[in-house]
Amino acid sequence: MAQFAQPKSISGILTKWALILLAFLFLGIIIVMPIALVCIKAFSQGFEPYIAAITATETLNSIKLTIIAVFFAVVINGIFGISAAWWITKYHINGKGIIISLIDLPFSISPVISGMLIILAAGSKSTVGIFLEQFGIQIIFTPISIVLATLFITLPFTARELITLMQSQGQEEEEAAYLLGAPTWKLFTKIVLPNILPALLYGSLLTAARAIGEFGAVSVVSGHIRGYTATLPLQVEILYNDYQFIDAFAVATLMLSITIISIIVRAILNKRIAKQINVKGDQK
Amino acid sequence: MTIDIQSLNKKFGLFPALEDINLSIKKGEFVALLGPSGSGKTTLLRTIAGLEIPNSGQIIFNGKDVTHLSAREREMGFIFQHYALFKHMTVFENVAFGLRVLPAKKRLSEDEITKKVTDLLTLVQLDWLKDRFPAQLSGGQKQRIALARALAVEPQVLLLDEPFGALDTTIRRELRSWLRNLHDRLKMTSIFVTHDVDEALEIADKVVVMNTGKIIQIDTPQYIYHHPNSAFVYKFIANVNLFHAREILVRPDAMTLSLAPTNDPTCFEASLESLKHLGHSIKLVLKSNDSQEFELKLSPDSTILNSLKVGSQVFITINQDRAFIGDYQI
Repeated sequence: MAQFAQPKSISGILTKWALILLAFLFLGIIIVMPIALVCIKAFSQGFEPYIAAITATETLNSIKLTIIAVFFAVVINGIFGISAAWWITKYHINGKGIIISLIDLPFSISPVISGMLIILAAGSKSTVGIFLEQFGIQIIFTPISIVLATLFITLPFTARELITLMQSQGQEEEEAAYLLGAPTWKLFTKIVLPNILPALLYGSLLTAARAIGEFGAVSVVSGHIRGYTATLPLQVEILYNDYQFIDAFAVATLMLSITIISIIVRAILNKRIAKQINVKGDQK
Repeated sequence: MTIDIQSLNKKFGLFPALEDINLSIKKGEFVALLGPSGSGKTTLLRTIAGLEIPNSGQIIFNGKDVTHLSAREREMGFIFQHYALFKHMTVFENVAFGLRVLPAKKRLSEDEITKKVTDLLTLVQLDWLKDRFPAQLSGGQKQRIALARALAVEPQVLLLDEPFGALDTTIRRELRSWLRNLHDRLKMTSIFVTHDVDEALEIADKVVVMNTGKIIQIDTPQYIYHHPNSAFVYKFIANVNLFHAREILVRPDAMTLSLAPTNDPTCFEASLESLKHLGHSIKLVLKSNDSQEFELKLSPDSTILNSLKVGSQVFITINQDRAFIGDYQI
């Protein structure tokens, strides 16, 4: 890659350092400082209150609910993403564009509206809600609605990643395996899956990160029942509104560390996917 | 294996990709499907393989109707233009793939698989690459591995979709004669798709010329070259000059050039516009008196070259046996 020559004049050097300083200052104020403040606040009374905050029953329950929501979001949207992407790339179908736009829909709807959509569709006054009530099943204001809202919000992530990748890869490898006599499940496990694995992991990671952080949609459907329908972000809000700042920030540090880990894993996966696409490019 | 294709039709939406295709291929034949892009040659090959389902018509292998069999059940070898090697597997595993996916009852033991794969890699002269990954191979190597992979399942028919299309000229030439030898040695039936006339004429026993989803002519390379059945084939096989006034198509090597007029009725006068040395031949661009430009080819040894310069007035005689007269409009 071509590189610019280093500036030699004094004004050039000054400009360079001014720019670097400005960038660091901006990052420091907007990103590093708030993160540091959250951590400082969380540990302001020492280690013990911090541990107490994150091991409180309500917090542990919210962690549990968040894990459940993440699990369902990753698994169900993963399966959906693989089938949708496989189907869209494999068959000549009309209206592919419409299907892809539909998959993208949750991206463009405000999360609060998404939550309201779920209340409309499954609330106690909806057909589904009335029907399920006969069997004593309630959806809204229970963990089920949290899972549903999370599923809706995170639907596009894995599907989008896989559709893009599979369209760029084409299907010659699959055809080759098929012609060599591979049964469908071997075709999937030996050819399709290894090719899409990095993208699948990447999509799952985005799904998980969003599922953990989602506030708006789950807030609408949760009813804020402590220890029952509160996910991690909702728990932070509850604690904060109760003026339990140390607890609120302690729980916030948990979410922060998850974010940082996910950024690192994303960077690694991104490199692998880029490599995969390049290899394909070389073959052509 | 003999292949019989009877009144085959295939549409993509409303677009007719194949129209009333009838073709018989004998056991051991090496057949080229030749045509410009969009002529339906690849679609025909993919339909024979079972990758496309025809709208009507029959495909018969050895007397048995296989039209409704899936590609998996037809047991054919298929070679893709872009190799389609499995990127995440080594060369060895690529070749072994067809053997490993067999149902447990039919599957060979690990030792037998190793032996068979090694034999195949030796056959394509690449046994030393067995632990490499596809990304580490050159184009020609990839295509030979793809061939070994297809041969592993012992297909009776080999289908090749522009197998050398992505390779450079030298390797192309080398590989095509190598492929022809391999075909003869293994006594297979092979069908390959190409848009390269030289390639088709050089290695095929039988050439099927296609255009706009239809078969135009089926004959031996020699016959097709000398007796094209239509202006399309005549034009597609080699460069031609079209003489509007005379309603005749003439190849650049089907004309004689002389300094004095001949008695032949086709003889006409022209002036030399330019002269280019192409190595194996000399290309002359001439203009007739009714201002029509045309090309003529001469051997570099022609003595007449010494007396030619740009602007010279010369006489052209058309070799009528090798011209195409009649309905030249396509």
